Amino acid sequence: MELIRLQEVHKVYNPNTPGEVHALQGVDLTVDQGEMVAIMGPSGSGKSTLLHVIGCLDQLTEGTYLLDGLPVQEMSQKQLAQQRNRTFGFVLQDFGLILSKTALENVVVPLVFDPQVPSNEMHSRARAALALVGLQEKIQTSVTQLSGGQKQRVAIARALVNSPKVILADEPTGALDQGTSQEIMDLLVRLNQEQNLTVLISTHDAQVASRCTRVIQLQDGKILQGQ
Amino acid sequence: MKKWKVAWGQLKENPFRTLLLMVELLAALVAFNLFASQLSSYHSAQTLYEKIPGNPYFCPQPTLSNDSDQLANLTELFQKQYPDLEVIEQGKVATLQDITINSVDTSLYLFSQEYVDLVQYPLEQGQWLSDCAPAGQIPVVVQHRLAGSYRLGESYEVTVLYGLTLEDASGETQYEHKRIQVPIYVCGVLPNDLLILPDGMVTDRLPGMLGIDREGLLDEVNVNGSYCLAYPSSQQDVENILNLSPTAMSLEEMQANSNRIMLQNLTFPLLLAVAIVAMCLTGFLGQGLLTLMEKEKQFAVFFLCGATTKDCAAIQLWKDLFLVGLPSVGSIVVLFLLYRMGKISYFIPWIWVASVLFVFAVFGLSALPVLRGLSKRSPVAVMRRWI
Ligand SMILES: Nc1ncnc2c1ncn2[C@@H]1O[C@H](COP(=O)(O)OP(=O)(O)OP(=O)(O)O)[C@@H](O)[C@H]1O
Ligand SMILES: [Mg+2]
Repeated sequence: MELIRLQEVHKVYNPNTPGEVHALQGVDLTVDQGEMVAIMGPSGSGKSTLLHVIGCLDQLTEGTYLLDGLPVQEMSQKQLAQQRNRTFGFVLQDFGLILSKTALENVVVPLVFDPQVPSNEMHSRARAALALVGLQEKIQTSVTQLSGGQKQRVAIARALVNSPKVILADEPTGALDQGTSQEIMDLLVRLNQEQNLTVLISTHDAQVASRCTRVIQLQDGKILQGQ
Repeated sequence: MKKWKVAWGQLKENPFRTLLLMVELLAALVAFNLFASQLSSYHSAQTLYEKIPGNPYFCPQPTLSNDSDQLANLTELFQKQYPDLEVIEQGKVATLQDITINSVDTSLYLFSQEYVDLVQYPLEQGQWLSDCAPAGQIPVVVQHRLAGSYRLGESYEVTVLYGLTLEDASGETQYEHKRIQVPIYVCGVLPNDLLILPDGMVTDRLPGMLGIDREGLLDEVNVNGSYCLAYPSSQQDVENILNLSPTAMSLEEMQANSNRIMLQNLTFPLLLAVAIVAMCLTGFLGQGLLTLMEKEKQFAVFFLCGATTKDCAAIQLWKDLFLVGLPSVGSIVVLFLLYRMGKISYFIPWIWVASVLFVFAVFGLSALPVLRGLSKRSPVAVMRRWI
């Protein structure tokens, strides 16, 4: 089932200024529910930009984006926030955690912004998500005291906590060593297979890409291969 | 509903910093309001002195009542009691009504039982002991705000000043002035809005009357025009009085003395207010700058997790509400206690409201760059810098 469809998508940063950057230049891409897609390409090729556009973090400049059949360009700020909250879970290279908080408090954050989740369910849901990534022992630990791999697990638990359809992982193993990368990839693959989660991963690492069912090559804001 | 919890959680992340900031704010608010209160007192005193004519008079209108019938009745009663009394016309009484007398620290009033009996109307609205006839003590009426320190039905010793004007054989008037210890018994508390006009000069008009000041607060003379009246209850008192040799002050001297004391009272809270406000402002700025990045990063994370810019603003608002709200409530409690203890004579609600709003605005402004950053630059740009 088709979940994401990008047609002729352009993204221009700082349009009509000397700092103008044409980061995406006519991207066509469809992703089905349950796919595990790697996005590869040199630095500056637009991988992060693509994930941001898909994840409703940033808006495209030109083209169309249908999410579950609905045009994203027509969504209000509130609806976009709702997509970030319920449809997508984000995993980032530098984890994107609030360092002053515990693992549990970090994982709770998306639930805070979902009016449909009652307050008294937030902690039990966050615990379940942390258990799913194997961190049930570290629930009350401050994230500063966790290893890189553990931090990334917290981030994945946070991405999972509101039962999204898609995980968008921007170089999730970029800050991790080989072994830990492997573990994180095992986790993502497991989630993809067991929960039929759609996973999009940007990476420089061929080994990471090899774990995915499909590989897209991006260069200068265009998809070379894997469309 | 959950947002206030997030805000509270953010504050709890650094409890020491939060507490410190709250205490600073509390101190700043109290100091500022204290200063405003003292300034008001000073200002009212000036107005009052301006309105006192060069020749002292006795004002028979001891209340802030607007009831002209009552005024007339009282005037009549006083004239009956003191045939020599010169009563100013009611128009002048009315001009004095807009003065808040407690600003000049009119505090404790001592009256004879006859006087209490005499002045029926306004006093009975307060709290009274019926059949108040303490043995060997002077029955007193206290102003409402002193009810905390001089409790109804209890005895106290107060140091009072008294003045006495006597005529000698040749018809010359003599003015006597000294301090004595007086046992008092609190028979009544005046209603809240009832104040008795200061009439420090009354001794000139009412020979044999004992002028009494509160707690020996002011040395030697009644500097602030807040004489309180009582009658020597025995011949012995009169004789004691005659054996002393005090000195009198002119109206100008009284005012100068009063001003000196009031300015002294003014200086401390002013310095305190300035110091603390300066401290707080640098504190806020420092804190604001230090936490700017932290805030930006947190909001970026919130955005990533499904918050809108509005949600972030709401969280910030809640946070500021807690940070400013709690010390504000604290400050009103402290000010109320100071008021009850008689340390300040004024609590000016609008000044309090204004100072709270000001602090709130300062906080709001310090969060503005972050929120503006989130809405103007796209949140992604903010995020890219921190995540
Ligand atoms: N907020 C922004 N403002 C201006 N230009 C930007 C912004 N974000 C990204 N760019 C530019 O857009 C282009 C694509 O950037 P992007 O981050 O998507 O690349 P990437 O493939 O993720 O690179 P990397 O592998 O280094 O993460 C780059 O030239 C980058 O400089
Ligand atoms: Mg990137």
